[in-house]
Parts: sequence; structure tokens; C-alpha cells
Amino acid sequence: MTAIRLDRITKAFGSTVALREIDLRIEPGELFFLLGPSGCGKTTLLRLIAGLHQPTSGRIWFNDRDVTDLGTEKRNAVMCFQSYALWPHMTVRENVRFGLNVRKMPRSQQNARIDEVLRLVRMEELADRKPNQLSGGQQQRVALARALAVQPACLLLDEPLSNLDAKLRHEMRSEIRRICKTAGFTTIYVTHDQKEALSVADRIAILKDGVLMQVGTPAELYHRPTSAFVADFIGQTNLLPGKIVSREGEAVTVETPAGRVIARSNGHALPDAVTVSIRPEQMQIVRRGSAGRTNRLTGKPIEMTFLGESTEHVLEINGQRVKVISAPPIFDVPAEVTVEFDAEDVVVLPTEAPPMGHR
Amino acid sequence: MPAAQTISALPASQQPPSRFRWSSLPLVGQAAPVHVMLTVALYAFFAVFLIWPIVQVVRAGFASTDGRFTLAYVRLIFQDPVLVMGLVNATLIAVVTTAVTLAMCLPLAVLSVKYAFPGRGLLSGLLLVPLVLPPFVGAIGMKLVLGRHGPLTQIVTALGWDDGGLGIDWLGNWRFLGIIVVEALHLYPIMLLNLQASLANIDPAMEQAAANLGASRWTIFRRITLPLMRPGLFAGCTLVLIWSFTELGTPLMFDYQDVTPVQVFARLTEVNNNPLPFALVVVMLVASSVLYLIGKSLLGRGFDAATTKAAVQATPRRLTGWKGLAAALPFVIVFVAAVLPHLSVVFTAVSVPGAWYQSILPTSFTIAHFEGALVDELALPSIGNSIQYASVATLIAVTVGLGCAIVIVRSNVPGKGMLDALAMLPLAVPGLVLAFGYLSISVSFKRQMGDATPEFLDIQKSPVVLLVLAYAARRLPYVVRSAVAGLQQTPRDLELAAANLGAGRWTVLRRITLPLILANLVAGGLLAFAFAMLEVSDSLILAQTAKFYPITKAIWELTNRLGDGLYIASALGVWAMVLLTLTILTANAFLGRRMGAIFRV
Repeated sequence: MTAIRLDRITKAFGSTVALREIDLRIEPGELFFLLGPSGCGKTTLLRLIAGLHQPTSGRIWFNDRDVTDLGTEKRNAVMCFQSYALWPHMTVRENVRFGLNVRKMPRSQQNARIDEVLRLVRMEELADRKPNQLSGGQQQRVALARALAVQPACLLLDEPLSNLDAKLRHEMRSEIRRICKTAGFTTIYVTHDQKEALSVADRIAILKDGVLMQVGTPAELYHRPTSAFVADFIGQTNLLPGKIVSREGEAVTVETPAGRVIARSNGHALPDAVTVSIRPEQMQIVRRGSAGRTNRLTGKPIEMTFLGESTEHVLEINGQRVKVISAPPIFDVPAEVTVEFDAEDVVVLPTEAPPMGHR
Repeated sequence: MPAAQTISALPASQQPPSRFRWSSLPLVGQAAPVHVMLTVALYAFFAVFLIWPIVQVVRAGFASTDGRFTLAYVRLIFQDPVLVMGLVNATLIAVVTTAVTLAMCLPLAVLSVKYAFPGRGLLSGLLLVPLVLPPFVGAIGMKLVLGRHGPLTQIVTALGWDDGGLGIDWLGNWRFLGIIVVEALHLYPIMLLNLQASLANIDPAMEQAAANLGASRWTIFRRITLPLMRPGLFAGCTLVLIWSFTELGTPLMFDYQDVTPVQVFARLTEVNNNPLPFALVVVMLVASSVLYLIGKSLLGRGFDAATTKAAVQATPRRLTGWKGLAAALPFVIVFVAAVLPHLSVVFTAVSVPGAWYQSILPTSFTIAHFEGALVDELALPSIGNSIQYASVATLIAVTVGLGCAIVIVRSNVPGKGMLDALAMLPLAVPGLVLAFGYLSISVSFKRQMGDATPEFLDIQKSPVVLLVLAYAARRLPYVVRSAVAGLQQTPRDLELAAANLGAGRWTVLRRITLPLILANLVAGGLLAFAFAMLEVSDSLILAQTAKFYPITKAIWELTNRLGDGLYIASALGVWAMVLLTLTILTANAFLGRRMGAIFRV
């Protein structure tokens, strides 16, 4: 199993900087996600690890080995392309055999290995078909099998589910986790779909405009985002501009347009000008009396959307739009709504988010 | 009250005419009557001007004097060792020429698609120039260059070779090789364009995936790239193979008699009473078809377009410094070699008669031949004739080509695939076959009607109509491809939006479609024009009266004239090349990078 370390990786295409000083360590056997909006540089980063691009500066390490100057054919970091890149002139079996042939594996071992991986991806029935006789999901599994067959040092997946329909995507998600964990490879998975990342990843790195914003487990990113961008990108949230008016021990009081909010400090030094993030599902609509939570705001309901298992309410609080999700659904909303939430659920972020890495 | 009238605020006179019913979507529902009519008209055109001539040739080759089927003539061919030799030589020339162009173009295609180096765009463009400069014209110059005491001999002796004072008989010793070299240097652009197109169409991920799995560059090229290039390999090889198999101009100029096209041409005067030339043409047609089918079975199996179409454009690898120059060098070498024959034509055209003998360059120069070409009784009218014929032929080709493209891209008429194939047929049918087809139509009319034959059907009296039609039919594929590409790049919605606003079919065609695909039509038309101007087979065979000679026939007659004939012919050739280069540059300016799309099959 291979640990991958990126050391101040920068990649420029002409005058466009696609990636800026990325530092990252991916643990052996980890299922690691690169997540970000399109154009953030995540696919470029994956291709750098695969050796399909050369970094402009910085080094890439596989365990204790510097692989930066190694061509893609010598890295054994095998990629599943977004378009699958199955060779149309070869059958499924021949596609899978290619990498084994290149590695000069004896024929009898090849056959055993091919059968093994095709069984793993549940494609043994269709081994003699040509790629264009397969559906999108089947092609995706063949691409996966082709990569798995050669026992890669690490497996690189580039938006593997983007060409599939919603139902198949859902099935394949857990399938990929099963396969990667069974085989025990270090896997790097690129996606722009935060639900895909949250549901499958061991850890996630979030990229924006070629800069690494935050790395953490799905729970860490959800509960403890370090920037407004991450808070907004993972799940949904209310972002309110604010100013710190008092700091007493762990409690921080922030004056926002919607009212005064008390938050639990995360120990980091904060400037006075901040942004407050409160998730809609962590606010509770209080009908009468109090739920006994630290913070309490009151506003006028202006929109309501029924989501099935919940309702989403938009409140206007002192001219600020605040979104609240209520599960189970509430339909009879009074003309004046009070919400309460805990200090632990308020995340105070510096307004200018400091990206990770060197500055 | 019908709903349409109550909704409408426009007076009835301004309502869109209801008879133009716009089919809702392309390829859905019933074919529009206009499309059906167009298709029928096009089928009629192809039947009369393409199928009928071919059938005529085949019939003339197989019909005995009393009209019954006979294999006697074909048998005669295979009993005559000279004719059999001709077929063997034609096959040899074709196979070797194809192999040479393939070997030349594969590295060039890879370099130009996969790498960026200084001058790549310009050099790739220049490499296409020889396509429209017929070897026929270049061969005039080559004959002088390769003369016993010509410049090549002088260069070789200057380098220390002892010719014993007798000179070197290049043409005598290496005539066969000369033909192959000249044809390869003429035909390689067809191969190159097809290889480049198929290379550029390969999804870069296909090769990256192989590299990523650990394959070496050579393995990737052999196992992935080459197999995926198969459609382009097939198209390039077939076109070059058939073209060189039936090439008449080059061996004729090299005075090489033992090859079928020249043997057919030599028997031209006998066509009125001897079916043998027809039988020979039929044998060529069959042989071409067999070559085509062999190529198809070896290389022709294409792939699902969806799986090979490039999802992302590959970024070519940048080569700078000496690597860049090294990459550009083969392009320069091929270009220089390809224009060398034509350069020698220019030299011939400016040298005083006899001044390019026993010297590397002409010893004294003159521009008199250019003036001579403009006053010569054979040369001057031929320029006018060619421009006229080519213009009318271009007009016909563009009209028919546009019709075909509309049916192929925009209609759901049954049998449009067949129409597409028919429009491409002239690429696979040797020019010689079509020319003989028109000839045999003329002959059979004259046989049946005698002196009552209308003048335009009697090529001895006036070959103009048949010549123009032959030109139009031969170059139709390029116009069709060009127009089809234009229509495919023009979203159907742009036309539907106009129709939706109430525009009729003609208004949409005139105001929306035509302006949008004008660049393609102009480029396709210019190419058709250029090819028609220097067309060889049809011109040599169909133009039989001096008054109607086009440029190529005039050049051929001039080279056979003693005295200043060769020089006037060269000057005429130079005039034609200038005209053509201008035409091609204009076409290139209109189409830019899309130029290559026209030459694909």
C-alpha cells in the first residue's frame, strides 16, 4: 500500500495557474476524495499524480520514492478516465489483458487475474463483448477492472460516475467503495458532487480556483468548516456577516444584522470582522415557550417549500434572509416565527478565508 | 372557426403559406414532399451522368457486334502479353506508390498532429499545394531535368560521377521509378489529410490510458493508435491506390507505353469500331473495385463514432530549439521535393530554347514564352475554354452538391444513405472509366442516329456539354463533403427558428441556410474549379477538336509539337499553376482548418 505526498505542487498552463502550492498527504489504503466546483483544478491534480501532466514546480512522493520525473508508464498509478477510454477495437477481456501483457505476466496467470477482476466488478458474463456493445455502467466497471487488474500502487478515479443516471450512480457509489476496500488500494477519487464525497470518502480535500481550501473527514468538513466557501459547498448553510463584540472564555458574541449570536470558539485566533455560518437543519422552530437553546431569533416567514421528509422555510429577520429546515414538516406557520439553536452549531469564520498552504 | 384564424392577428395575406409544412424535427415523421422531389431529381442526375456512362462502358466491353453478351474482348486482353504487362505494371505502380505515400505520410501525420513546432501551420498548408498541381504539368519539367544531358546529369557529374561524355539516360533506366516518385509526390496530400483526420479524432485518453497502464510509446502506437487510425488508413490507401492505378497523365508524359491507362489512350482513335479499349477500361474498373474491396476488408471496419470521437482535444507537445527544427525538416524536404518538378516547369518556361542543356540552371532567360502562351493559337483559346468549362462545371457541382447535402443532412427521405454513397462514387471510379463512359454514350448515339445526332452529343463536333458534365461529376464528392460539413455545423434550430417565425422553405434557404454555409460552398466550389481547370483524363479523351481544347489537352498537344512547343507548354502550365494557387489560397482562407474535411471519404 502506498502513501502519496504532494509537496508544494504548482501547475501552470501558459499564463493560467491551475494549481497553487498544494501540500497533501494521502494515507496508505485511504479512499481520498478531491472535491470542488468545475474548473477548480481537481482533475489536473489527479493527472499530475498519474503522471499525465508534469508539475511546474513541487515534488510528488509515493512512500519514500520521488516519482515527479517518472513517466506515467513507470508510476503504476492507474487511472480510470472520465470517458472510460476503453479501446473500441478490443473486447472487454482484451482491454483488461492489455496492462498485464505490458507487465509481461505469463498467459495462465493473466487469465486467472482477468477472471478474478471481472468477477469483482461483476462483468464476467460480458467478457467477450466490444465496449460499444455495453451500457455506460458496464463500461465504467470494465474501466475499473482494467485498472484493478494490474494491482496499481494507487487507483485514480476521475469523475467515474458522471456519465451514469441517478439510480445507477447511487448503486455504483457503494460498489466502488466495496471494491476499493476489498482490494485495499490507496484510491483518489475526483468529483464535483459533494453528496458522493460525503457518503463514500475516508477523507476529502476541497479545492477552489487551484487552491486547497480544507482537508478533513466528511464530519469535520460538515461541522467545522474553516471558510465560508467550504461551509457553503458542503451541505447548505446561512452565512451572515458579523462583528465580534465580546470574547469570554470559550464563548464569542457576534453582532449580525439578524441579531446577536453566541458561538463556541474553536480556539483559533479570529479577527473582529467575521462571517457566521448556521446550518438550516440545526435551527429549530419554536412554537411556544423555549427549547432552552443558547440563541434565539425571531422573524417573518416569507417562503415555504415542502421537501417530503421536511419543510424548508425562508425567514426574514431584520432584513436578512435565513433558511430553516424543519423535520418533521411544519405546515401551519404562525405570522411570527422564533428559531433557536446551540452555540456549538454556530461556526465563526474569518471573512477573508485563509486558504491552506504557504502564503 | 379554425383555431389558427382566431389566434392570428395578421391579415390572411400575410399569413405563412400553409402549403409549406415544416416537418417538426429532422429524421422524425414523414419526409417532406420537397425533399422527396429533390431526392428524385438527384437520383435522376446520378443515373444519367454517373450510372449510365459506367453501364455504357461495361456494355461496350461485353457486347458483341450483334449485341449479345461476350467475354471475347476480355479474353483477348488476357491473351495479349503487352496488355497483360500493362495491367501488371499499373498494379505495381499503384501498390508501390501507395506504400511510398503511406511511409511518407505516417511520420508527417504524427508530427503535425501530436507536436507543435515552429511553422507547423504554414508547413501543413504548403504540403497540400501539390494536390492541385497535376504531375502531368510537373512531368514536362521533369523530362528536361532528367534529360540525358540535363541538369541532373550535370549535378551528378559536378559531384564527380563520370558519365563518359554520353550523359545519363535517367528516363531510360529509371522511368518506372520516376513515375512512382512523381505520382507519390502528387498524391501524398490525400493520404496525409486522411491520416491527420483519423489521428486527430482519436480521444487522447485512449493513448493516455495505455501509457498509464505502463505501455511504451512504441507499444501504444502499434496496439492502440494504429488500429484506431484504421478508417483514415483505409480512406487514404484506397484513394491513392485507385488514383495511381488509373493515372494517365504521368506515364503519358514520361512516354511510358506499357501501362494500361496509356494503352487505353493510345487506342482512343479506334473507339468507333473497336470494343477493345472499352474492355480494357472494364478490366480497370473491375480491378479498382477489387482493390477497393480488399482494402475495405483489411482496414475498412470502422468504429462506433461515439466511442472514438475525441472528448477533449489533445494538446500537442511543444517542440522548441533544435527539436522543433528537426520536426519541421521532413515537412520542408517533402514540400521541396513535391514542388521540384513544378519548379523545373517554371525554369523551362523562362529559359531560351536550348539554353537548359548541359548546364545545371538555364544559361539564358526569357519571358517570351509567357507572351507566346498568350498568343499561341492553341494555348490562348485553351485558357478561355478551361475557365468557361470549369466555371459552368463548378456551378453544376455546387448546385447538385448543395441538393445532396440538404437531403443527406436535413431530410428523412428513404434512400438518402444510398444518395450519399452515389455522390461519393466518383472518388472510387477511375476518371478514365467515366471519360470512356461519356465517350461511349456519344459513340452509341452516333451509331444509332448517324448524322442526325444532336451536336452536343457528338464529341467530335462539340465536346463542351459532355466535358462540363464530366468535370462536374468527377469533383462532386468534394463539394458534397464540404456542404455536408457546413450543414452539420449549422444547428437545425437556426432554420427552425426562422420557419417558426413564418418564413417559407425558400426564404429559410436563402436568408438563413445559404449565408451560414457560404464559406463551405465557396471553398468546395473553388476546389471543384481548381480540379476542373487541370483535369487530365476527361480532357485528353473527350476534347478531340483543337477549337475546344482545355488547358491540359493543349499542354499535351504542345509538348508533342517540335521547336518551341515544350516551352510554350511550360509557360501555359505556369499560368495555370498561378491561377490554381490563387484559387486554393482563397479556398483555404475561407475554410481555414476545416479544409481537411473535404478530402475525407
